Amino acid sequence: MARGYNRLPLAAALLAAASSANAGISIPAGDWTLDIGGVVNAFYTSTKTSGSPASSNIGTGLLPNVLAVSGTTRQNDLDVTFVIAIDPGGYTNTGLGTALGQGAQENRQAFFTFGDKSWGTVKIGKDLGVFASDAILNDMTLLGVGDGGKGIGGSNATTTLGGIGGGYIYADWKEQIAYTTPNMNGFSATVAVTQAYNAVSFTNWNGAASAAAVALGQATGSYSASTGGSEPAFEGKISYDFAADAAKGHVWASGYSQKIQNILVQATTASAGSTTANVADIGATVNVAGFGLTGYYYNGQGVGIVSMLNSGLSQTGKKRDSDGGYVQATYVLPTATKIGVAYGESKLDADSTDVTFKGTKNERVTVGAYHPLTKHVNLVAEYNSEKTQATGSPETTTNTVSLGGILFF
Amino acid sequence: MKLLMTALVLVLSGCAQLMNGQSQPVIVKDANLHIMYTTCNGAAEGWDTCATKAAKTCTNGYTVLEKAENANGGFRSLTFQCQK
Repeated sequence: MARGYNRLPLAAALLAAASSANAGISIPAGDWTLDIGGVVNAFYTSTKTSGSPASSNIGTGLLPNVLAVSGTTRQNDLDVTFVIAIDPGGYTNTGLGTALGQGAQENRQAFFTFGDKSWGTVKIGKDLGVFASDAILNDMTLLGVGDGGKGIGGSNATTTLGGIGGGYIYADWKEQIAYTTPNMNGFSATVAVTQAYNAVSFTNWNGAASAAAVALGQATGSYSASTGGSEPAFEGKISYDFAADAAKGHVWASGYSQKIQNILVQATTASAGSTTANVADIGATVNVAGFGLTGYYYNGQGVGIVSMLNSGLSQTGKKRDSDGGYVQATYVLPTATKIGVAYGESKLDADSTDVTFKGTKNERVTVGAYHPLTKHVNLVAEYNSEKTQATGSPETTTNTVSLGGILFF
Repeated sequence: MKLLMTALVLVLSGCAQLMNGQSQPVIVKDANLHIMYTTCNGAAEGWDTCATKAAKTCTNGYTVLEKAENANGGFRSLTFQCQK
């Protein structure tokens, strides 16, 4: 073993290299190496929400389908890359579950980077947000279904929710300018300015509540009309990777801050000034001898629940407190099948000035099995139970069983 | 009875085929410099399996040259160099 690597794995590796490309389809093109990669997935979901009839659907999971073209080159002593992706969903877009739907599509990525290992990398364009990105990347439902199977076949959604809103806030796909340091013995950091969003409220995503909603007491929050005004959102993350004997791990912390300009009370459209929403998180994942354990926690003010700035402002425009997190345990069986169980919760507290809104909490339990049928095809089976408890309202439980598969190339 | 036995054999052989999971391989990028490449894409593999494959491949340890991840698809790849 003087050469420093095992002969048998190397022999297998040489064979594999000779027989197939491993990640995507690489094409040399002048100065560039282009790569075409993607994901195709579909799941059968059976969902039962308390008080509603059961619903079965076939469609994409937490990921849409993906077709991505990327390129890498070295120019003027800089590493330069780009990614452009289109993301078709698997569901009808009629919103009614009727025939002749063409399916919805997202466009999640279009960015380029330049940099060097000596000083880091600059990213410009649209990609996954920085805050809470590791929360979703370590969620075992990322390539499964998680929550959201209910009735989604008749909606214009492209994906299910996975663990979003059941342990973390969605990192989302954002226009951004980001700088990431080089890897320094496992440490790295990212700072970014990202597109600022408007705040929205539960009952009317586009702004003021209707008169009918006001009459029903459903105008329970505030929204904004000028995003961050003259300021973008600010995001950052630090992380540390380690490997000690049989243990491998990843620890991270990230944060988000955005000014919310021109806040308007939902019921009256009266002005409520401006404020700044803040949130921070911390997480860790450790793997030893086939066992994996992940823990995550976030705490914020004004950021809301499920997606960023969703219902984070009270009926007088004040910030509501949010927190939540999840724990997840996985184990890889001798068949190479990964099994896992996760528990997560997301809470949104009422502000002292809230009258109608009393707070809400989502609790999620997921049990899943993920089997590598081939090196590029995974079969997935999941059970997900999501309980939503809005204070003062009846508890709602949604149970989803999903079976399907995902192919990546 | 024959039909039942045939069905049983088919089911068992099908299950055996399905249960024979396949890992993503390690590929040699530069044999002279001992530079290797592997992926741990998807739901069944993760960064831990990339690290395990690197450790199994390099008996004297390894240095990570590049760790790449694309959230839009669960893609993860590790380029590493075996220590001599």
